[in-house]
Amino acid sequence: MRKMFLLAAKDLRSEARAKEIAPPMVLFGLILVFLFTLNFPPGAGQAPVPGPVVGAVGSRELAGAFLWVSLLFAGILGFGRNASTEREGNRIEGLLLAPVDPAALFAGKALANFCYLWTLEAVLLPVFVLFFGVPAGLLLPGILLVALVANVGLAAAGTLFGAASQYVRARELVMPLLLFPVIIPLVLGAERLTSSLLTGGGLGSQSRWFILMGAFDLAIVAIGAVAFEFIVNE
Amino acid sequence: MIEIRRLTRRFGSARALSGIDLDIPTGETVVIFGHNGSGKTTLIKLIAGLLRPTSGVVLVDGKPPRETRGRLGFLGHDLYLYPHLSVSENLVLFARLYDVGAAEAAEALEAVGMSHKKDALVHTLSQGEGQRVALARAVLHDPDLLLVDEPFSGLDETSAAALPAVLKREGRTLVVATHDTERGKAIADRIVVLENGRISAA
Amino acid sequence: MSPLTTARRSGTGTMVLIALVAVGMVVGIAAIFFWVPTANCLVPGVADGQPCFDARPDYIQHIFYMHVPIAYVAYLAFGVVLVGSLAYLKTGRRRWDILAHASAEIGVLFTGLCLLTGMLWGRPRWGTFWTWDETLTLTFVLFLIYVGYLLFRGLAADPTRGARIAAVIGIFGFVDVPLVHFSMVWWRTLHPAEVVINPAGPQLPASELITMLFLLVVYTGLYVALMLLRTRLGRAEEALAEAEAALEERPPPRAHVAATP
Ligand SMILES: Nc1ncnc2c1ncn2[C@@H]1O[C@H](COP(=O)(O)OP(=O)(O)OP(=O)(O)O)[C@@H](O)[C@H]1O
Ligand SMILES: [Mg+2]
Repeated sequence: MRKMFLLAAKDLRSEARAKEIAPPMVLFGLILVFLFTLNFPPGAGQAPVPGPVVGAVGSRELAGAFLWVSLLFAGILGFGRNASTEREGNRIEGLLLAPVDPAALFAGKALANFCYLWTLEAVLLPVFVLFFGVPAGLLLPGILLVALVANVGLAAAGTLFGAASQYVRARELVMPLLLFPVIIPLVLGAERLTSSLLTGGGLGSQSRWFILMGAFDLAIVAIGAVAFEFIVNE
Repeated sequence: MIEIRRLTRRFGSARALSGIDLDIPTGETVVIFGHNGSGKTTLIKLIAGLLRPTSGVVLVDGKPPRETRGRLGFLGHDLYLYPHLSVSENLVLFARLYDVGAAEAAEALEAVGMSHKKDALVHTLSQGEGQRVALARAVLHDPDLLLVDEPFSGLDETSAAALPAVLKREGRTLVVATHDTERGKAIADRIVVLENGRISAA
Repeated sequence: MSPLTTARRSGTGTMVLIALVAVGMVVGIAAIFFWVPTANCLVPGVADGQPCFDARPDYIQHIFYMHVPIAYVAYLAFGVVLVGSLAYLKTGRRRWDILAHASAEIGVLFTGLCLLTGMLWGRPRWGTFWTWDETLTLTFVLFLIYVGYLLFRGLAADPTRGARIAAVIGIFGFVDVPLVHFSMVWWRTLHPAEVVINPAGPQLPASELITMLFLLVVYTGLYVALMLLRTRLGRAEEALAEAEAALEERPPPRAHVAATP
């Protein structure tokens, strides 16, 4: 447990000096949000809460999806980079030699990813509110809860599949191919909950998504902690 | 005590080691000589538990190497240091991971003569300086078994001459892989020569 | 017993099984076309014997006698990937990995067939090849996960490590299935509801039930036969690699060894 924090602190401190993960991630996220805004009808965010829409999706529902797709794409950049810092110079060997439980290695890496995601969201959420013109009052504080539950699973999955893709050719390609299909429950849940917030539905009516996302978090954290050694050990 | 029995390691279909038998009693210093590609690094990594044998066994004090890794020190070709952390941040991190304190990290740094660079970021160090910091990382927890691969590479005369004092300690088993015949012979209790993945002289 | 005789023996068993499956397929197809009543529309709410979409005889529904067993084999195969992966990580035995790998390939094949037969049915029934029906989407996601698994194995730099990591993917992929399933079902419900079509209603006539069960058995046989063939191939590949490695290690045979009869 203590070693997990040591390892995460090592990544974060290193990043605070090198600034090679968070800034590109945030910038890429901003570009994505901007690109999505171009496809968004002006003023649609302020439009009154759309009722049941037949044959089309309400604009605000779409906005939630845009937000999470941007976060996900930007996040995956950071996951890959965070994993490769241990692969470069075989530094993972140095960690494997130390008397540290591989589960703590996993948790430390995941914790660093978790922090990168929050950094990303801290910038992207306000920008999202501005660009899409959605009322911030609707989003807060519910979005923080949604992000918390989503970030746990995303960080853990990003750590597991980030580490896995270090050992293949074409690793930048392989990681999204492995990661995207499995995290569908998490992303759909986050999108649906965000849409529900944006359309004034609140979180209560959609609480079953929390259960689903929580189940995902539990599964990926448990499997990651147990299986990490099979990935990083020779 | 290290016991190696019929140890074979292949990479794909290429074999790096075949049928190694070797016993290293506790406290002995063994130097492994061999040409490039003879299998020195492979053997050292197998003893460290970083590689798995294709067949055969390695036992350290009767156990698989990964179970006794807390008492093992390892200095390989790679430094295992984080370039954007300072020298002392790196060493303190590893000290904590090995359950020892910052004092031990400072002591090890002193022993390799790098205390004056403790606040330098690792990526600003020269190759020899990096090698010395990596050595400090390998010995800061005062291991009972120390495995070093090419420790003399990149070191100047003075540091190379000071090296045996850092590596050796009463009761510590030391395995050194090197090309440097002269310096190697000077510290060896026993010499093992690897040739094409086999022991050709012991 | 020499490896060769073992191979030959298991070969005979496999051949018998393949022959049985072939006969079963023919019988099953005959039953679909000549035994099972055709005009019955299975869509609930549509009166018996009434055509569902157009006035032609309703042969379309019959694709379910293939579609359902195919889908079942796909799930069975991925379940076997899970078991093989767990056992491989636990024991480190190569044969478990060969089992999981073989089953993943067959599972991907059958998921593909499942999508194909589903689309062939959907075109006349729903008027479109593809719709984001939750079952269809779930199958598609499964397809993606296990194609990723196979891709990973193909690109792994070191096969042994690749096998171990693939096992982790195989395990998480299967654990993920129910989660993806629920996310799909709940995701759709907020949008205009699809007409819920239950292809196999509970009031199946005997001929239909028997045909379906029979084909389930035949397809299980097909899966087992394919697995036997594919795992045998996997073992042969392994043995070949071993032999090559051994050959490389051994010095070239001396002349007098070659001369002995
Ligand atoms: N990861 C690997 N993949 C493939 N082959 C490898 C790998 N590591 C080592 N080998 C092969 O194994 C053999 C032994 O390599 P090893 O690194 O043990 O030699 P060495 O004695 O340490 O050489 P050097 O003096 O250059 O450090 C070499 O032929 C090398 O090509
Ligand atoms: Mg070497």
